[in-house]
Amino acid sequence: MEISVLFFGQLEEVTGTHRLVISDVVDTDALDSHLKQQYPLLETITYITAVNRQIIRNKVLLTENAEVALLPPFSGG
Amino acid sequence: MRNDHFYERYHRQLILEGFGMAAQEKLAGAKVLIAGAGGLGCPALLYLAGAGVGKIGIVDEGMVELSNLHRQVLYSVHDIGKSKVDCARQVLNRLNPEVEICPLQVRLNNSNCLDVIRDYDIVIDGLDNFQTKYLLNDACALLLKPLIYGAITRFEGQVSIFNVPSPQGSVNYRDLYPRQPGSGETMSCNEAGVLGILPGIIGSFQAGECIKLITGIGEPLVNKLLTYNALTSEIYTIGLSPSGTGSTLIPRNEAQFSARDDQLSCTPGAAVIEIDSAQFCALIKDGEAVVVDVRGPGERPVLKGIGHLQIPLPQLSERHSEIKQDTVVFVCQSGQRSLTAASRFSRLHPGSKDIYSLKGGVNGLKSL
Repeated sequence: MEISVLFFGQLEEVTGTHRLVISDVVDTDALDSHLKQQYPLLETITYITAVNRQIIRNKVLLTENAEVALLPPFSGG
Repeated sequence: MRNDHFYERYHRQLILEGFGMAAQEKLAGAKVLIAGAGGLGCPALLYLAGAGVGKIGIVDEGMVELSNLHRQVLYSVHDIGKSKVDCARQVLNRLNPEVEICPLQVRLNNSNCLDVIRDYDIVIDGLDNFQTKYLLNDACALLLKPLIYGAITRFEGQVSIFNVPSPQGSVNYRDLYPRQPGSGETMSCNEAGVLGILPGIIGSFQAGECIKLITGIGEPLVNKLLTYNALTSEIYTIGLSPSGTGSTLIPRNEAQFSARDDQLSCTPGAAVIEIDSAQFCALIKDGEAVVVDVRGPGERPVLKGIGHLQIPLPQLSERHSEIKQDTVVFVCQSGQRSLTAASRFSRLHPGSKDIYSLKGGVNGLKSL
């Protein structure tokens, strides 16, 4: 099973990519720990998570081709 | 009756299907405040004045600098060193004398924010730092004032509309990011840089959302967060929903909002706010706060007539879980031990509670 992850703002700098395809993660908690293991700096940054373009706050099961987006706040104006 | 200039000035939007005179009259009757006359504020101001919004407030404490000019399109080299709100007013008056422009050269803070926004129908966030963005968000959420949020970094920008009721409920910034990111976590435009056209696009989005909200056309970004990427020209929009904690972090009433000091509370290591006896009385009156007396048994005068917990300072570490409330005021004799207690308590509950210490202690309370 493959899902894609989109990184916005400074998360793109932390991960070095805007989009990542990941296989075999069952839910958003598993995805989160997988990403934080791979990119420890993610631990230090505030962001919200959206699955299929809807904000989520609790664990959500991920299905084939799910699209997860991680969005940090921006402070500029 | 409107004069011929009116029809001519607004002709191109008057002839739009679904817009017409009804929408134009709504714009003329609307009062919009733009907080921040910088990269986002400038285009928003230009388009809203052009569109014929009846009254536009501008609040910004800053002066024009040369490094502003690549993106802050209201200003010219002749304005360097002058007040932004005054320069903006002059340009906007020339653009559309029918619009009432109300400049206000102050920095928003806990004492002035509610009064500044109170008379406006809609507020636009053109601010350039988290501190005042959270302050404005909380003020608008408290007064149930629609807030058109905008923010940028380098090549990306965000837009959303908060505090507009919908079937899912109303959302504010704290439903997305409950607490202010720590300093060093994100960079401002001064440090990170920004492409000049980016605030131009995001500020124009905000003006567009404002016009949609006032006139009722289209689908405004209520409970949606739009992200625009200037490098890829891609737009990504997600649906938002209230978080449960988002609304609990908003001050419960105006006294609590004014007693808080967001300039202090975002300083690292200063999560504790010292309050004077007047602010103390206001907090007590509202009934949400718990008072914790950290003096030893037998110290006088006792807190008569004020419901409180008695937890002597040396016992605070073991007994802190007895304090269930989210708003906590520590008191002692002179204000020293309560400050120590408050900062210990804030380390035990990082960021999750509003913690105050009574400056001057019980000695400073006039009437007990």
